[in-house]
Amino acid sequence: MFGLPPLLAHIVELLTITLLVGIAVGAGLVVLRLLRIAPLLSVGERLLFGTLLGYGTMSVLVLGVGLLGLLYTPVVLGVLMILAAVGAVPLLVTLREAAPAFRNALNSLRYPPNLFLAIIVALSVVAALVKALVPPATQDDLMYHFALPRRYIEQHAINFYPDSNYSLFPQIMEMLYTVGLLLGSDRIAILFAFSTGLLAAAAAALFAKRLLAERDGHPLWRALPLLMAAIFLSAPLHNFVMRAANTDFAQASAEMLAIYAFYLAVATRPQIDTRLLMLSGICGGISFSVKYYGILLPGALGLALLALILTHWRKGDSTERERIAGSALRNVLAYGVPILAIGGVWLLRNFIESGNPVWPALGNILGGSYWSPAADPEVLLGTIPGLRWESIPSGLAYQYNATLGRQPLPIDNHTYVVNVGPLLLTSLFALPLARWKPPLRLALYAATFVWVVSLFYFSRASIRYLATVFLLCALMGAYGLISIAVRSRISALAMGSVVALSLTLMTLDTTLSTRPFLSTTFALDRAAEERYLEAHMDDYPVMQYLAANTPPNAVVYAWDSRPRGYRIPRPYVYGRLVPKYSGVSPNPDEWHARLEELGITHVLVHNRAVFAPGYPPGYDPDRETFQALAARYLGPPLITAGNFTLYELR
Amino acid sequence: MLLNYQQQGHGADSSTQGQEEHLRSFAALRMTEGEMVPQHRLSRIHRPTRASHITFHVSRFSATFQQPMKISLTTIYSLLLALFMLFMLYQYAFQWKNLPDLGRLFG
Repeated sequence: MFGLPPLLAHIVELLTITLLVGIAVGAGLVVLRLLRIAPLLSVGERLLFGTLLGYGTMSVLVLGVGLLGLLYTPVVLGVLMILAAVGAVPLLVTLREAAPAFRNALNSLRYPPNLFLAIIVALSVVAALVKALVPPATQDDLMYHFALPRRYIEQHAINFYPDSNYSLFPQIMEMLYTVGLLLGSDRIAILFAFSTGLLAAAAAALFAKRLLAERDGHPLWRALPLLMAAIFLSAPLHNFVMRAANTDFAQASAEMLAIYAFYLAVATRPQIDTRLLMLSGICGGISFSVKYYGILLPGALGLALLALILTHWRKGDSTERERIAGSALRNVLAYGVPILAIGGVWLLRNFIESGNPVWPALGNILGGSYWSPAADPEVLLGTIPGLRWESIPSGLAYQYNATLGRQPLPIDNHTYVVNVGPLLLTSLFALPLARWKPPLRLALYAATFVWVVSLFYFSRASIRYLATVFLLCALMGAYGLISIAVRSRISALAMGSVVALSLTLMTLDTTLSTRPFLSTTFALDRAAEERYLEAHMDDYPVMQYLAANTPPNAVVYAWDSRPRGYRIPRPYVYGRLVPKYSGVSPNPDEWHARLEELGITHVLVHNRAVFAPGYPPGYDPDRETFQALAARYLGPPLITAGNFTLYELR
Repeated sequence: MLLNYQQQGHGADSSTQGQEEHLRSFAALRMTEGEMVPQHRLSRIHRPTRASHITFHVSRFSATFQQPMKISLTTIYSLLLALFMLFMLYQYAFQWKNLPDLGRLFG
């Protein structure tokens, strides 16, 4: 950033993200006040909901600016300044109000278990931060999380890029990444994602503190929020996720806050509170705007709302039934309209751009641009198992392997432990002895719903997609562990020592795993980042070759099942993801004609087994057709690095 | 008096467990004095009413333990859970560092 040495740049980036989060929180607090929700929440809740709503507000504004074709740094800075001006006073007032709570939180660290847990949380967060501050070289970031914002910035507009089947996915987080990239730093973009991990943990911890902890009980209950956060953040999988711009934690934080507001709306008042229900719906809409899967939990909460209304109606007398009938529609609308309105923004945009609101998904039903049965853009995304009972055992086997049994994996030339560690799921076995409170039941129902659905559908996707389930598991597990520990001194000793040992070992392991990153993150020499990329991106030499040896108007055709556009230093077209757009054809001449039409000058080939979950190993629908094209139209290799080879198109 | 004792909260130790222990001993004391303890309060003191302890007659094996040892089912469960968590910790920490995979013992 600003040509500074990495360490100094990171200091500026951390200050910048703090400022940006502050602006977002201020804007979110204004939204809460406008919707007259703020008085219903504690100061901590206002700050957490304000953060999420602020992120949503900032994203929608950037989307608007981008759709208008005004994506220039001064314009976005102007938007940020307006948000800052509007939100400054509410933010300062809320922070002043929060000062005693912060002091209490600091005082609570005098309790030794809290101090220990705070150290665990701090070390886990710092370890993830050290990994997050190296130059991004992770697959999904390079393929679309940053590749699309880079294109938006280059074009000064948010357009549809039909060569990328991610182009029309909901992109609320990518809008924030666009802000980071516009400010000149992809690390600011990653820090936005990083902050959502902290937001998710903080939301669940506050839920635990306010709704689950026994206020006048055993002193160990004071450790519940930090224990929850420690279990969640120390899980190796989560440390792995927080290093990149993955959006799983953004979805988890939105869903957790949706559950939180839903519970406050339906359970803590004599009648369902419409405004809190609306807040839950807004969080649900934001969850959907992060990821399509983000509709699952808000959908389940919607069904729960209907069930609650029906139950109250059945149990009530005639007067009560009349009252419930009168408020039912208002409640359903208060919850459903925000989800439809916020989620609808993306669906409408997709429909206008491609004719399919969820392009390229459901192309066989809804059709849409560049979709045909012979050239389905979803092939390389993989298949999902059908809604069959047989999917359950395979789903369970996958999840067991991914959460508990998986060996460390080599990813981007690093070795990562990407299971959930020994504590997160095992702590759930403490729950049978816990007191079952309504918020705990809600957390269990929500986690079970997503988990059961995931058995059918996500068993070929990343285990990261279960971030919300793991967050709720950490919440329930922490509650269960303390419930069991307060029963007797022997239980407290047994649970306390095993939990402390597990957390210590995991954190030690995580801290030691930062070693390969330290020399880059804390470097004072700018060349350290180049060296990092050379060591961790097999295709980096090709990128350097392209930058040095091709004209600025060269256009690269990335023939790769997982292309990495963010680092390609020239305009590019993804060749494989949407075959109909990029001209893939059994006739090499027709294909070549389309490449000429797209202005392609070079072809970057990644020779490897295609990654298409659900298909047989080695499955490649276009191998032979590409070989025919290559034989006729590709020149001799210009450079080969790892499995990547660059050719000139003849 | 029982109520007052409960309300005092035993000074610094106001834990539920501590209170229950004191209440239990206090109730036993009152019983020996021939005074009735209200039934609702007894049920609170001795909850849950189902068998919640296992008694080990260790004195059979050793003269050192003259009194039968009582251990609650909750404590037994928590000890078993702690053992299971230790096993999972072992699997996590050592399985991939070329130490024996204890998971194989269970097939």
